[in-house]
Amino acid sequence: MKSKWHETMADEPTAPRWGKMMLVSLGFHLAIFSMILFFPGYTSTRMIAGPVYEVELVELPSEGKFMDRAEAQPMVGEKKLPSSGKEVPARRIDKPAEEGKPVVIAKRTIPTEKKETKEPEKSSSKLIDQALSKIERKKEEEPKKDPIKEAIAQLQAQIKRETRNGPGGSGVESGITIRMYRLKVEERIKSNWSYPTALRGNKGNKDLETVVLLKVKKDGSILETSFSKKSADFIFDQSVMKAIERSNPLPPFPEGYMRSHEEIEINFNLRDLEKG
Amino acid sequence: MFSKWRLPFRGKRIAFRTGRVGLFLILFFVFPAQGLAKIYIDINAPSIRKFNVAIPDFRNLNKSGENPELAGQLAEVISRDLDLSGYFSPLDKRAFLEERGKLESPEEIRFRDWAVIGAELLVKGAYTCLGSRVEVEVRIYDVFWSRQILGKIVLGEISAYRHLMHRLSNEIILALTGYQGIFLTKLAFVSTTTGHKEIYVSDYDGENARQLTDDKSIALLPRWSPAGDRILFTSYKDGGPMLYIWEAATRSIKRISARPGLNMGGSWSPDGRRLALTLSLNENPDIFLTDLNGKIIKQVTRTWGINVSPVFSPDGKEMAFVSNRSGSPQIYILNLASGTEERLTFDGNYNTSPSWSSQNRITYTSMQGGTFDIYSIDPKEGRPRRLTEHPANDEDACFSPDGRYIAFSSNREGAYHLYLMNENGQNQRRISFIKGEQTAPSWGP
Repeated sequence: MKSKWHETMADEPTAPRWGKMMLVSLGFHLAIFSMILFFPGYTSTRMIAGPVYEVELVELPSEGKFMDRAEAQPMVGEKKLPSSGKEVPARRIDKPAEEGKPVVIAKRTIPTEKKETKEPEKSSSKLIDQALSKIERKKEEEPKKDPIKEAIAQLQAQIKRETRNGPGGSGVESGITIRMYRLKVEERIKSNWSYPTALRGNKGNKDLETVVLLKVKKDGSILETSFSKKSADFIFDQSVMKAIERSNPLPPFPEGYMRSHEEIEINFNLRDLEKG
Repeated sequence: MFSKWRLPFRGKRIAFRTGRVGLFLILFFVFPAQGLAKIYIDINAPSIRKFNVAIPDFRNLNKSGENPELAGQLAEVISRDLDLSGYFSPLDKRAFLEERGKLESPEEIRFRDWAVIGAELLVKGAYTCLGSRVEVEVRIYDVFWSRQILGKIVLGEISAYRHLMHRLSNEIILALTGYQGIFLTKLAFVSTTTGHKEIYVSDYDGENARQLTDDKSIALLPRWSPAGDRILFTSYKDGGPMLYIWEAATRSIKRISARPGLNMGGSWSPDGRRLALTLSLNENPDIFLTDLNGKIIKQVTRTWGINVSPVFSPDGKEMAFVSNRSGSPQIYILNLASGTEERLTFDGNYNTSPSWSSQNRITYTSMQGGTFDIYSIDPKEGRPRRLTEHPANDEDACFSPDGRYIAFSSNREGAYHLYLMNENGQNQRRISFIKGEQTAPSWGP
């Protein structure tokens, strides 16, 4: 039997056969993936029991009406599939503002897993962006500062700066968690940073800049610190070192952030003091 | 079986290609794209803008506990010095935990007790009295890194304990900031304590104020010489406004200009050998250069209009002064060699009393919006910067010799008193508390 098999094998050229097989296999794999990606209707549905809620992860202040719930609704369509199970009537639930307003979008069944994870993410980040722009407008009317607004503005600034950051992980969802993590790290180190700002006077403050590179573990402990760039002021550099040492350990990585180590580059400067 | 693997050449190439592609695809799907995995953060200001310093009372090492009051007094001088410097924030003593023993070595100090109350630095002192003198030892510790930064011993008269502590404060500032301290400098100013305007001299912090003149007339515009050995001032005691120099060495006062009309408000050249004065002997107040005896060397301004308040640049080649030739008092810069004059201030219609620092910055008083305020400006680039925003009057600004501080007069608390601030306008603090009103400070070395 063995020799027979050998015989049949020896008859045909094996190299093209093997290559061809690879290609065919690849083709099948791609076809299957594309079918799942682009023609979701052909895959089985998932049944959802119970009412569906969407919850904001970020609590943002508002003057009254937070935003148009109606805007959020059309994003998730009311799709009903024949094979869907129990149907649940849509209910709007009003709760006190402090606890966040859960939004029932509509009775729907999620057609695919992929879409389910995609759309709520889109809507929550869109909600945040809309809320932020509202708050931005409101901020223009009310120049008086308060700590919450400052935090929001910082969040805004973080989002604006996000273009500098790479994806930092897989998926759109980590974008927000990374922002929150960055904000937490920034707040922690900043709160431990002490430097006599009158020291440099008017002219010197503009140029002071120290850049530090940290290697951080998943649990927040700092493994390594190094200066990428030192300032002209030794006392400034020393104050930066102390700020980082005092902040060790940093907050742990956010859930879902899969890396075990990360590099954080921090730019210390005095630009906030130059106004006025 | 291995015969299968002996592939012809062409087959091998295809195999490699597909193998590489396959491997790439596998890796592509298994490891998601990271790009630059770094996280970037900007921190644009510290949250704590001064070094918190804990200065507990000094330890009394005298066997029978003489001079117990020094324990608090010595610490208080250093505390005030560091506070007025604008770089430090002394912590409230009531937050301190119980003191133990004499000056401990760094290993014995429980730095955590100090870190817990937020101290960045710890100043510990001890003193021993020897007759009329006192020996003081001081140590500065970095609380976070638990180590000593500085240790000094000084010896001096108990009655001059403030001077002694100012010396220590200078050492502390030098060690912690690299800058020379100002704590042994002096102020000269006008005060109406006796009911008349007389010239007074005090420590930089307003302490130890001593009356210099006793003419029961009107004394104005005192000006320390650059070496701190003389004071030039204007007085009406002999009739009209005339110029006098008080000499520290002989404690004598000499009249140097008694010409008809105005003899006013001069300043010293940086080398201390010439004076710039305003004289109106030609009917128009103009600026003249004279020697220390009042003999005229040169007339420096010759325009119509009032030209007053001259002050030299730190290199002695230029002079800033006030002139109303444009219709309102404004500040001009004169080049002494070429004689060219250029206007410096354009905002507001009342800009006077310039003072030119060793860091090449000019401070002046301006009336914009009803009250006087202090501004600073770059002599070359213009661009005025407002330093005081109080609704009251802030005027008579004058720089410290190192240019990092400004003394000025303000009536923000009702009567005019002297204040200090950093040259960027921060940390404005009252320093004169004697009876009457204090104006026209001049800061000597």
